[in-house]
Amino acid sequence: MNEIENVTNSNAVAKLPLLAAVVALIGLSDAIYLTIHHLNGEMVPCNVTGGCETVLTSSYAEIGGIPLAAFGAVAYFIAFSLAILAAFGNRKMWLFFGMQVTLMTLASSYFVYLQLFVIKAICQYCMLSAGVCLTLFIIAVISKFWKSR
Amino acid sequence: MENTNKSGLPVAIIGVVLLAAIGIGGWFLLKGKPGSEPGTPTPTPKNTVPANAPPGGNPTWSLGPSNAAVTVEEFADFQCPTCAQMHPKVKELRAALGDRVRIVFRQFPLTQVHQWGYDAACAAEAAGLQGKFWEMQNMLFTNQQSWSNSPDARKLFAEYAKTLGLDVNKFSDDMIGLQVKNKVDADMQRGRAFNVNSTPSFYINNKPLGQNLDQLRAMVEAELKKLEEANQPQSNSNTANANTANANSNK
Repeated sequence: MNEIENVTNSNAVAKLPLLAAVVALIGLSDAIYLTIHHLNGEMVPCNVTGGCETVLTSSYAEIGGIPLAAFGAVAYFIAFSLAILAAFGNRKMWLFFGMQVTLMTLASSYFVYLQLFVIKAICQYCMLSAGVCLTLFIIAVISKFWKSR
Repeated sequence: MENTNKSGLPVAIIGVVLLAAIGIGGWFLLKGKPGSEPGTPTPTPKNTVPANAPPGGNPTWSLGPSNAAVTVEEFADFQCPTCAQMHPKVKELRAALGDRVRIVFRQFPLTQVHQWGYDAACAAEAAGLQGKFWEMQNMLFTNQQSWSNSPDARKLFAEYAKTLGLDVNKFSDDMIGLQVKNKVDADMQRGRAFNVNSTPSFYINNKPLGQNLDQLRAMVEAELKKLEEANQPQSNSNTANANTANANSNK
């Protein structure tokens, strides 16, 4: 009886974890692109619409020689995995997902602060990543209300 | 039964995504850059430079003889990290090709996104008034990280001027003077006529290099080769460039 209830409930929330998994894939692709960009040392001209190069070549772009984007890629992959497991009924993983995206959103907020007030340049790829984090966080928050209804 | 299937599927999906991420990432890392087909030759850009473009600042900062076979005109912003990355490559190009190439440097600070770009351009021009343009140009590019994030980069520019042995008072006055400003503006007007909207922008004998900055040397060498082949039948040409071309083609 308990099991049936669990399955019914998990089906009800499965759409949100599935959506979260798709969104996390966007973040993963973005982070992989930025990691390759960093490791290849690819040169992109500076232009008037953004300061991507300023951000990507700043001292904040890597930690201990490892590109920041690589940490992002790992974080998005973990978020994706947790969301997929949750989408297939493992509700505990959705709790971990909530905790993970909260931490990611906090980290993202700090990176946006660095871009706006310290580096004083905006990288659109980094802002996309921040947007993805925020979206994942919003999905996690919405799911709380969804379940409680 | 259904439960077993359900527990296997998410793990399989996660595994597929992990393999795809490692595979795609590794492939781009080993083969080249995202967005460019490895081994694809760079298309020759169309000549978009208008004949009536303003001449730019006077005097023109250039290295190499005025009758060099190939002139590379660079529009750069001292605060642009990519311009700083290209700086040693331009020096290498000049060292490798010698007098067959002439390098022209134009100021094109992206004032909308770089706080100190315009001041840095003025600093280089002010040093130029004391005969140390190229020394200051090198100083600004190699120390870009230090002054870019400084709350007042102008203080650092004055320190560089001192290091280069310039009259610092004159340098500081010149930096904010009209002569230097007019020169920077003249270069920028030429850049706008060339439709420059990003830095560094290179023009090889007036043909834009475009976004393929890695191709600079290859494109310059291709242009030299093309000109040398075109000049080959004119064996009685008395220009230094044609002589060099003939000497090379006889090897």
